[in-house]
Amino acid sequence: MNSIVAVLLSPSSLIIGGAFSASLIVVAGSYFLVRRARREVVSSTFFLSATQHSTSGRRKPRMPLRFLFELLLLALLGSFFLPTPSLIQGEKVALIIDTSLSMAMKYERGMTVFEGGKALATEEIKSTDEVTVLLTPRFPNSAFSSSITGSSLHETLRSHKPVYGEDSIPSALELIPARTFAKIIVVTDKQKPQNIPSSVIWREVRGTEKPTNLACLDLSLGPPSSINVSLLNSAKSAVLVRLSLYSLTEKKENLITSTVLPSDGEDTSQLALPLPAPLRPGSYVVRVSPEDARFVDYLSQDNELYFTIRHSTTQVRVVGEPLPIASLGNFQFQVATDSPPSAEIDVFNRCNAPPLLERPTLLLSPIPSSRAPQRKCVETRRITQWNSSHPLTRYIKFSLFSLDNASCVERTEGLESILRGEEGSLLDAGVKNSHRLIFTTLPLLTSSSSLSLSILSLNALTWLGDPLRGKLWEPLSLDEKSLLKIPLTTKKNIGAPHPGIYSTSDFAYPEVAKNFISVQESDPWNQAQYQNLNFPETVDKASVTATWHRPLLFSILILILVEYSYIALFLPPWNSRKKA
Amino acid sequence: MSDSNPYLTPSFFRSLDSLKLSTRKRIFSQKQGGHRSAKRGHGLEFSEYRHYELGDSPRTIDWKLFSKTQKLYVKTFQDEQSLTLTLLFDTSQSMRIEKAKWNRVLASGAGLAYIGITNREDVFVHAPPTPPFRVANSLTGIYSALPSEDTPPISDFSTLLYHIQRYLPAKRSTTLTVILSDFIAPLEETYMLISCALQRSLEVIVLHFLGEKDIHPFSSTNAVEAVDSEDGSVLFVGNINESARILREKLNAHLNALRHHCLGRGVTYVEVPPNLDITSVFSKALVGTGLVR
Repeated sequence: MNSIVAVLLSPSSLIIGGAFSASLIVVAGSYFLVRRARREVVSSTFFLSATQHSTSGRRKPRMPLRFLFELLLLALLGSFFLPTPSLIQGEKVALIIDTSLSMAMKYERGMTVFEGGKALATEEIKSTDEVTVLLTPRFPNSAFSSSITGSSLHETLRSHKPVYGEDSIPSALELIPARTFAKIIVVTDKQKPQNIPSSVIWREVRGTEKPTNLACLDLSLGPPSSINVSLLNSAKSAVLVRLSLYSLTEKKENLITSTVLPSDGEDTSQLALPLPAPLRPGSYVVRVSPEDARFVDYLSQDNELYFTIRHSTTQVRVVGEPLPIASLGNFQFQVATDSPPSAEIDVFNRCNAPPLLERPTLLLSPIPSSRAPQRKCVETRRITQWNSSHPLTRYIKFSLFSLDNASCVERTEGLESILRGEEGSLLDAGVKNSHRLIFTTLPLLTSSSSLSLSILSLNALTWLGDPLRGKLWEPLSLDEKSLLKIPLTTKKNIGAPHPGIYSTSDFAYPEVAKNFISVQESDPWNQAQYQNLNFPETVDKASVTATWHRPLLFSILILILVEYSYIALFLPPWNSRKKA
Repeated sequence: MSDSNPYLTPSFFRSLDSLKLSTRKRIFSQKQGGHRSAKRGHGLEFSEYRHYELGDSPRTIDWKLFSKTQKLYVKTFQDEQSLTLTLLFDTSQSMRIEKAKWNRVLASGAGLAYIGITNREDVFVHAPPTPPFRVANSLTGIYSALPSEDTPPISDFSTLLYHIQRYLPAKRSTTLTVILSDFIAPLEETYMLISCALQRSLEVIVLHFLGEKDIHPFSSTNAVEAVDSEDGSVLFVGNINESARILREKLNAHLNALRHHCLGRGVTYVEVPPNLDITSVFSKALVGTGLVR
């Protein structure tokens, strides 16, 4: 059905259909003229009808209009019986659109730069082109499938808006196989860097006005009587800001306090929201809004931050879309899982393990640059073997791992090697002194590490926090479903977006894991899919998208025949002779 | 007839009293009359001398010439005989659709018949499908001989041809045939009719009548459904002005072709347009051809 609609709405169909719809008016007018023609008795119609015979006999040049009709009729008849012809061929085009927040700047006629860029992209791309779209910074998981045509591009892009995050246009350009595409178009508000190939069509859309925007960047629990809110003021002028704190329940939000405070006119400012009483465990949201009604806040979705307070010795950071973990600062969330870690976990980021391990411990090797020079560490690049039944390795395909000079762990008595590289073990786990212990050289603390390492971090924290129940290798009850089931995501419009990942945080090492940034990436089994985007094979021309539609063609034929007969009535020679 | 036809008045007939029919060819007839015959006979007009031949009557010898030349010459005279005038009316519906045109046709026929009977000629009226019959020697006879409203129309031109072939004697006689028609028919059929008449007559006169509606068939500029008066067929005509222009072109071409054909065959062609006075048809058009003196 969609294809029929697409054909009917194609330019050729619209032109032909429009022309014949207009001609229908002529035909209708002619019909009524014929109907109202009165009868008149003449002595003989011999000379009138004889004209036709003499004209056709001498093969005089026909009336031009009628001749054109006959030609059109023949052409359409021919095309009707021919195989479906190709009319226009499109090209394969890669379209990279910058969706960073700066694209929300005001542009022209009330549009944002992003909307202007979308319009520009729509103009650049023909309706028959086959387009692969990459949105940054949501790249790479935002790459649309290659089945998008230029005609559906506008519709596809309509729902997208600028978001937080750094644009990654160079990365996108590296990923795109340049030979596959006839054109690579970049739409952004930034200048073209020097190292971008000249073949890339760089469309720069400059805003005419900087956006005035307030954003709640970060917050931290200060003393029990206040919350420190980090505010971004794009207006660069002092404005009055209303800070409001709400407590969240299953069904509604309750206002706890609301205060108007002046920002200091800098890009960022720290405001302290006084609390009437210390916060009890629960979920909360802080919202900022300009008090001055003349202040135009361009992005409303960045005006709030959610957080949860739960008294526990283990603090877990919840990172939601689309903030990378590095930008979170001290803003901390506390996760209440179904089986929360009941024990305190020590994370040691040093080479030598403490002699006495009293608690569950995650022992991490130092990064190579800070490694003690006297130590001899064997480096490895590939994981060759792993214990797939161990809770630490669930959801992870280590075959996808690519290590960057990882060191091997030193053997510790009582620990089992879970991951092995070519040169030795990369992760040992086991129980010592009735406490679980993990010893690894994998860079779990690096926020930019791969997703699998993040999952490994989560598995490690969950396994370490699980109380011992007599069975050392008892499988955890944590499954994929419970991974996502956190209090903040069980309610709509509350809390971080549901694709979340958990990161533990103690005061010494606040960053342990990174976030999942989309549903697709949250699914551990989907790693291969998003890491290996299915770009089209090398084809110079896209497939045919504009074709003749046979029913449409048939109806046009009928219309032409009708019109032809009517025109013949009104132009000599006459050929409508019938018995009364 | 005279009541309904405004042309048939006493003054009209009086204007014809002085006229008489004439032929450019010598006629063959069994009846003595006032016209030169192709036969040598006992007329009053001297023809020629020729040598006496065995069997010639001695009374024909010119003895005065013998006394001068001592040779026997015979004096021959032109035989004078009467002619037979046949008026062939085209009674198709196209002739009768326009009253004025039909009245002019009847008046012309009546005038010719009147000239004929006043000069003691044999006049026949042939209005198919009615068989030809001789016109009585009176005005009443003329009126009754002319086709009337009751005369059924012929369907097409070939019917006219059929009647000529059937009723006119196949052998050339003294007949002078006058065809009164609008000749709205294919040229081939018209030519065949004229040839057929020529085979049966010494002289053929074509009186081509055109009506106002033959030249200007449409009374308005709106689209019309033209109904053929002869066969009832309907023809839709959308572009009136263009149609009328092409029709006039075709009609002129038709007339020219017919005129040239008649000229080439020795047929007298007289076009009677709608604006030509009926007395002028005789006093100018027919007198100009030499067939009426």
